[in-house]
Amino acid sequence: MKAIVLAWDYAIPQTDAAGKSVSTEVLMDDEAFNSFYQRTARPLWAYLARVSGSSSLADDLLQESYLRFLCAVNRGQDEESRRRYLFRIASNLLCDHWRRPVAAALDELPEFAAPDRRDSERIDSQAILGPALAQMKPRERQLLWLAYAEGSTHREIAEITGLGAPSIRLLLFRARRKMARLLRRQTLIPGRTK
Amino acid sequence: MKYFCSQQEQVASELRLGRPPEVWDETLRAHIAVCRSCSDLALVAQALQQDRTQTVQAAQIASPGALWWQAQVRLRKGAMERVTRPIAVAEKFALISMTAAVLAGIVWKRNLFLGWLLGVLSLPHSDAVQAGTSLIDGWITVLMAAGLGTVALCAGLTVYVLREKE
Repeated sequence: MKAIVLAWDYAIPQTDAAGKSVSTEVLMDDEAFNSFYQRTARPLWAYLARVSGSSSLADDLLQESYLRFLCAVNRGQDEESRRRYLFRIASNLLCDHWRRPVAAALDELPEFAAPDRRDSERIDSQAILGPALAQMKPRERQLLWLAYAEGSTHREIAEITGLGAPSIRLLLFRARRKMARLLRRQTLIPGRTK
Repeated sequence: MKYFCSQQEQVASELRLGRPPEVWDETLRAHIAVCRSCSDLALVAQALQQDRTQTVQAAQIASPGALWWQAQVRLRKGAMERVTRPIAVAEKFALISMTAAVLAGIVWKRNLFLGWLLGVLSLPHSDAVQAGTSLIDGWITVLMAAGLGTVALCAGLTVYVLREKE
């Protein structure tokens, strides 16, 4: 392995420079990343799992999100901007995933996203929330989760989702009204939760 | 139903603090009872916050060390690709140029080439065969064959050397 690197360094002097640029790109060291990961991985996984409706997909997207985050040059200076940047990467990956099978806009995608059986059996709140979330559009789930589960402001949501900030308020209002209607229906008719 | 209620910010801030409606002040609770927009907000936010707490606790996340290592490999690979891209482009350009030159030569001297080919394969005589046969013994054919052989040899050697370096 070392011999190959030496051969390349000898043949192409820029290889060494490229290696150095890699180390300068990594502004976050191993320990800083570890602590950032411990603080953000679980909320990010929850976001991905609830918006996508699949735990296994959330696992894959979580890993890819962090890899892209680490390979990115400009990740933001403070913790909050890094966190937003990470959520933005994850949101883009979700959009890519939804776009892959059919070439349709995110808002035109069907509402259905199969709730994860593993989670719905384990988590009590999911028994009520799961069916309601499954009837929401992916974009609505995304907005609701960011606004009320993550507590993001409209400006932050706009930054993460790429939507226009002025439209967030109206979209959230509609999504919230729909979700509330579904939740009330679920609690009124408990048999329909399964 | 109102699109935006004046009390909504207050309701939202109570919810952000994680306080349930039971402990809110009397007027806000009375408002929730009559305002559909705010009651929707309280219902949805509480359900999502509760779900988030439980989902975050249940999340099984991978080791950050493995991710860090994978990212380093990806960065290194990306840097190497950036550096070797000009070589790859030059290699492709050389290959395309060489193929184009050979094809152009064949097309340009197609009658001679066909004749020579038929002669080599000992196919029945024709005008082209006669023209080609006359050249088989000629020095042009020898040069052409030698040139093609040299080009093929050089191309093979170049590809071999580049592969070895990689």
